[in-house]
Amino acid sequence: MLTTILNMDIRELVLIIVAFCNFILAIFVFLKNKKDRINIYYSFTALATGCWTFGLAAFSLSIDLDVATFWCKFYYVSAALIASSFLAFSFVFPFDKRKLPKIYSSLFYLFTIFIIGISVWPGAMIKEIVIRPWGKEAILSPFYFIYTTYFVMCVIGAFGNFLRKHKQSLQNEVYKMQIKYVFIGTSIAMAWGMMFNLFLPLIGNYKLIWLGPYLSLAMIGFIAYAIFKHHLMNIKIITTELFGVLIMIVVLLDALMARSRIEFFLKFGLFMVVAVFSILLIRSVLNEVRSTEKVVKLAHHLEKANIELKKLDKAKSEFISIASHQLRTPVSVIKGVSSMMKEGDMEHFSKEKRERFIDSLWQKSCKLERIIKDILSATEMTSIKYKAEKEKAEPIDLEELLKESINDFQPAAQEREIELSLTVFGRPIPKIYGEAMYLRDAVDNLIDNALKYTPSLKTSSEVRGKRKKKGIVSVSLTKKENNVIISVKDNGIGIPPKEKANLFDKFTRASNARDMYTDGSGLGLFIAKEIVEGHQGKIWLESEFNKGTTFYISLPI
Amino acid sequence: MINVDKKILFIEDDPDQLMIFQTKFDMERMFLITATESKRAMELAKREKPKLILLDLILRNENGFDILVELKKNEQTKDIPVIVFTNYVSKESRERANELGAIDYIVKTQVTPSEVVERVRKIIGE
Repeated sequence: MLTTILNMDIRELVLIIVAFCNFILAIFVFLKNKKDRINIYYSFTALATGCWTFGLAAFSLSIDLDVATFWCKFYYVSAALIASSFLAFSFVFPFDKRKLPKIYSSLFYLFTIFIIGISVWPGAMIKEIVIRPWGKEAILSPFYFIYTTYFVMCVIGAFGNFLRKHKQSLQNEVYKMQIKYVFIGTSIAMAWGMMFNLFLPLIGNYKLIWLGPYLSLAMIGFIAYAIFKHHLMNIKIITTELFGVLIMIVVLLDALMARSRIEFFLKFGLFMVVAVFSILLIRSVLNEVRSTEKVVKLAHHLEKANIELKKLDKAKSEFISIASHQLRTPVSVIKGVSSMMKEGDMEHFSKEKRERFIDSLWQKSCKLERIIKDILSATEMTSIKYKAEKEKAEPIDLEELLKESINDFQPAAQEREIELSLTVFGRPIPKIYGEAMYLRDAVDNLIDNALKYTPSLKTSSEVRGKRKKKGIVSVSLTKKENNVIISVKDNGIGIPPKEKANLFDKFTRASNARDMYTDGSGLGLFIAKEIVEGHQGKIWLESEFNKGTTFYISLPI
Repeated sequence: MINVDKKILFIEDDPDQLMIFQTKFDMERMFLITATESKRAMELAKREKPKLILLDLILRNENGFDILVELKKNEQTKDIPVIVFTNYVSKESRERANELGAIDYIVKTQVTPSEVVERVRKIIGE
């Protein structure tokens, strides 16, 4: 061992350092997340690179030809594994998308086994090791062409994957950045390594194979950087660890090469001091990075919360505009009529007209009261979760309830030339227990929405466009296992996919509905959801933009 | 005598409001014609050539802004002054009404029928 070390040239020393750096990165990335396939394949690639580099150093250092042959085989196998694990890595990084058909992956495994086979089989690819004035050289058989093909194929395949994924990433800047880093790092290192270790030996030049691994660190480093790119801070730790360990290795090697015992102890002491300080340094960097990450995370949360608040604020002011319109409309009539009374206009009216005016006062007062109640109950439902009260629960015939609701909406539907109908599947539908008044409210809200957002044939508008098909709103009732399901289907404007998720929130309206200025409070779906959930039921929707929406209510029997 | 040359078109869908304003304008000897939806409104605007249009924004089936756009697009109706007459109040809708060429934006609850008549009179020059 000692003689080997003493025989070591600067060339081998660098190779060994590079190999160790690769090993450290492999272990570090693997330990960071043992379950992530990205980390696993990366570690494989780095490990294979380390083995290859180490193999080259050992090959160069070995005196015995048999030992040299062993290391030669070792680094060829390692190099082949760099290519294959890099290809595997390209499939999962930065995102896992395409699954390779089994037949391809099986063929690939077979090919890899074959390549390893020809690399290690005595006399197959590596015919013999000869000693030249500049060092040892492996004499390669024509099998080497197949080996080269395999290697190049893997690299092209991997780059192909990255290019495709770069295209697929579209708006994802982080992915794009990650792929860019991997691309830069690997193309430099691969081009360099393939030049000295693959193509030059192919034309018989074996002199420079030890140069190959030098840039492997660039590749492995760039990839590690890319993996951790999504929380960039970690690169600080990696760099610190890398340099710390590098200094430790150099100092240790220096100690091992000491010529006298005293020198060895002095240098070994230095190594210990360096080791302690390196660890302390790494720790402090780690702490700093952790606290920075925490701050970044907090800032991110704050930003998110702020966006949410702004959204809510906007929705609220929109709600206030609409709700105030709802409140003002009856008030404007009450104010108008009473002002005319005050100005003495009423005295000139006929008896019928006077009655008609007074009736409008009465009607509008009632409407005002209903609107106030709606707004208050929605507000109440926000502060206390609604729950159907057991004492007030009664058996409800849903078919009857739906029929009544549809009857009440029929005039509005007819006015808009919308066909509104009810279909019941699998009679008899069992009665459910609940508060009929509330459930009716929930159903009414869904039907009201369906009618509202199914444009009428006779109107063409800037927002809704000209309707070509007749509006149809169909309500259905059916029993499914232990639930009763009500669906309300329309062929209206639909809901943009992005907005489906929070449609049941308070004050929310889909963007395409917002432009319609219909008189809703923006509370309908929220109230419906609260009522249905208060009956232990579920409410959900299916919608296709511009084609229509179906709302479902499922209630337990 | 009612001045038939100076017609006012009121686009509104609430029967009570239609009744109130119809009565008030009749009493003031002004010629009010009414429409509850866009098709009829466009028809009347083109045929009757009103001196002024009072336009509600939230109609049962429609959006008043759509009607405003259509009025301003049509050669025959584009010069008729339009007052947005609504209970819908928001900064955006005021701005939009202004952009689309409405000459005024009146909030219904803030005026009495007599005051509306006064404002209309001033605009049509009676």
